[in-house]
Amino acid sequence: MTRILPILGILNLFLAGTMLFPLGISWHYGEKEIGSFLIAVGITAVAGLLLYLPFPKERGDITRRQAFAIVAFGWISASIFGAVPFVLSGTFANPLDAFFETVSGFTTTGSSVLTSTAIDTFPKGLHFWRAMIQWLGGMGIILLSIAILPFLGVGGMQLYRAEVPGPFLDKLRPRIAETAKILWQTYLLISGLEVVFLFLGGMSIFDSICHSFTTMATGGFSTQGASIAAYGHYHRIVITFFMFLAGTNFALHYRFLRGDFRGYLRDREFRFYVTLILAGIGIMFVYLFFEIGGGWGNRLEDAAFQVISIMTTTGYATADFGVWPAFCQYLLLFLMFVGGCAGSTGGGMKCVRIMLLFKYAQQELRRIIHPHAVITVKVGEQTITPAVLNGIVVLVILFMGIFVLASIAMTALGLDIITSISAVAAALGNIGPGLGRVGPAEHYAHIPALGKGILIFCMLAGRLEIYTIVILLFPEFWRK
Amino acid sequence: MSIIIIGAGEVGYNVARRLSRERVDIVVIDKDEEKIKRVSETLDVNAIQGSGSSMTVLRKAGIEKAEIVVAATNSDEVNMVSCLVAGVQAIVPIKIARIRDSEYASNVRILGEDHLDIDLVINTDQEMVTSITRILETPGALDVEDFANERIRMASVLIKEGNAIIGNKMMDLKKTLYPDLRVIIAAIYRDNKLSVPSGKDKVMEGDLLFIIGEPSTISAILAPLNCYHNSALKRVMIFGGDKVGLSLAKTLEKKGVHTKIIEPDEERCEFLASELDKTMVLKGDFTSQELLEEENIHEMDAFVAVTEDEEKNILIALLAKRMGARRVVVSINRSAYLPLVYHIGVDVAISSSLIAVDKILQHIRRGKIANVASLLEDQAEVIEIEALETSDLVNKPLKDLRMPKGVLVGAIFRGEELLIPNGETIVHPGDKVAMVVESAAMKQVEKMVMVKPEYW
Repeated sequence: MTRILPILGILNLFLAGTMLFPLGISWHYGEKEIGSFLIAVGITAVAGLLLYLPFPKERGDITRRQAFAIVAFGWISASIFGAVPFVLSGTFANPLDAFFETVSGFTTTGSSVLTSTAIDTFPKGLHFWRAMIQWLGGMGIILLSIAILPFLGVGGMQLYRAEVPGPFLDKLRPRIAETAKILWQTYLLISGLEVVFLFLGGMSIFDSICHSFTTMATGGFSTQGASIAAYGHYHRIVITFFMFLAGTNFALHYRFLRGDFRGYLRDREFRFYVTLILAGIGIMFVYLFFEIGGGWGNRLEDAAFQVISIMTTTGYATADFGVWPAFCQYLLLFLMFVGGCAGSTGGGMKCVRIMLLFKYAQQELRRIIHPHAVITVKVGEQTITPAVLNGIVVLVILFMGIFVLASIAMTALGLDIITSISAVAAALGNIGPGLGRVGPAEHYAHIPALGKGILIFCMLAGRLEIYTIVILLFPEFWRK
Repeated sequence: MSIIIIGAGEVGYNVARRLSRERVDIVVIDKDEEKIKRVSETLDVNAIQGSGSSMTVLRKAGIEKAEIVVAATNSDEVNMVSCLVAGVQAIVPIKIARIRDSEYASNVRILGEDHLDIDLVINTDQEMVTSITRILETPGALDVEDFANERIRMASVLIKEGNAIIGNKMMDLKKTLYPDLRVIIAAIYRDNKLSVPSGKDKVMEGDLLFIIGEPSTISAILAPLNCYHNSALKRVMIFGGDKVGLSLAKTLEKKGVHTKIIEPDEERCEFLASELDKTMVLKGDFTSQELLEEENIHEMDAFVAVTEDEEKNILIALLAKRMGARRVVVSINRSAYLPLVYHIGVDVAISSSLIAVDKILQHIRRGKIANVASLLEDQAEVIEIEALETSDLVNKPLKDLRMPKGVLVGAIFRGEELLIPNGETIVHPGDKVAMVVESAAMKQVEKMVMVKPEYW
């Protein structure tokens, strides 16, 4: 404990620092929420100091168990303190709603309890904070602190493993702090690019920044009640492109920026990701075009935007896919489970896992035909060890297990099947809108309190790739 | 700085571990999946599974940008080929290889510029012998290291139960025990923590004291410090007639010590007998209590177990201790055994891999810091530096220097003179300074002793 609490304290101080940005926005626009932010900064900073100061500064490595606890509690505490400005401003019906919105933000889910009219009249400072927590959560708050604060040393690596999604540890540089720095710089750079492109198309600078934050994090919060439907073709295309980038492994972006132009093509996961997206868009487009009609350009745009938005787990909407044919809805539901690439800001189970699972199944089938053959699962040149494959299988089982249990629990609370299934899938995959009563034109405010609690758990479990959160529920974890 | 380390065994792992705390980029290569897993899970370095002599693997590890390549696998041949392949692929400024076979290790033509171009060859056998001899000649000490061309010696002493000095303050100790001796207690190891003591700290049971002074005075202080009846080294029994054993026996017989050496292999025994003059060669295995009895183990001043098999060394040493050997010394390889063996009664343990690690670190840090020895694996290091005119160290009384925590100046060499410093001592440019530095403070000290940039 004495090792965990001071680090949580530092994270809190850090969070207090980030709150100064929306505070500045509120001040700039002369909004009354400046008071809420001031108090929130105070509370968060004092809590941080109380956690940090009383403990002796221990050096040395942190264990893997401690790393899991730090990451899990770090996210939970960030969500609690991140909700303080929302609670104080009184814009939410109750503290639970504010907490739900914050968790949805940090986990880059983008499910909102706000109605579209509420969003349109939401204060700017709070809008900015809503977008900013998504952006922080996208690349990871722990990763950011590893990059900026060199206090963790070797322990940083254990934290990195517990926070960064993906089955492998892809270190860009030998040292973890350097790797974290590079990833955040790449993230910052691409986010900056998007701001420029959106701004050039005539979006206000404030909206450009907020939308960049939530695109690059594959979050999906918008400053507009109508989401991206409020903007024209240019902005939709720009955002589609940047959602696609956000769902890609950032290590590839970094290598591209360093001059390795063929890195994307060499990466098997990226190829799988692109193939899946193109197939999804193609099928969706053909079906929409013949079922709904109304100009192939519009339908292609709808299909591309929605497939990429859902598959990268962003969750923006340009059309209410809740009224699309059942086939299209079901296709989107399937894509919710796939998610982005490992090492991206996207959620879901990740392309690489799905790809490996297919190969694993193929290997087992071949083994039945050739009982004596020695067959290994390979990705490109690299042989995947059985340990990694087992890890993936177990993760998928846990993912589906949580999905089944949580959606059954949702129906027990009186929700219909479509709403229950899609709400849980959208929370677990960090997507945002689901189908039925939580579709893109709806919101989450009407879900019962217990249901919101379940979804909060699912969002955190989904963002931290199940293990980090679920392990806390395991009694053995707490035993000495 | 970027460093490639080939081989994640005891030596490679420990070099990587020590350097990874100093903000250098390290890539570790090993064939063994388990070892790579251990490295990638415990160290902040890049770990690559593959052969260190493979071009592809080396390229993947970034050989073009590497400044140092350390080949530290268990195989001399792999290490040499790795250095060769690395040298062919890129211009690597420093190449270090661990080569144990003395035939290779001493061949300047193979290792020199024309062929392999290896900058430093690590051959720990000779080092082991020197170290063991030094320890044998310093009764009572757990470990002995020399610095500044063997003009300063550091010894560590364990304060055992019943020692009369328990409870005394450090400053009183100096007054009562050694008013005239120029030595300093540089560090205390207590409760698994190493710290630099102040005058008010009390000596407690179980403390491990690190003492720095002139070699002659060190032996003089050890006797009163740990109530050891100081007698000259007369009789030594060695177990294991491999390279280290043989070389040690040769050294000891030259010094006029009665030496006996036990070796299980008959042929090797004959070879030993032909190589050694006065030493008695005995054929026997490690379970032979009778042999030890017959050869008067209880008369031995020291029993040294130096076979390649560390478990065997530990077992027979314990047996010898029980049968009355005054002091037992074992050679072990795995550093994880170090804390353990002291607990079960071994007096001194020497690890060849840690010696190799020290040598490699010394070479890598060359220039800034002259000599490195590690205390207790790596909790602290002893370094020796030359005080440059432009460094922060000079021309101020020591107490006014803003020394980082956990740093102690143990001795100053001015020309031929040895100074044991106190707070008022001023370091002059050109002095050689020996310091004990806790590992956390290492980086700051390096900065402090380096030349300030404005003078360039």
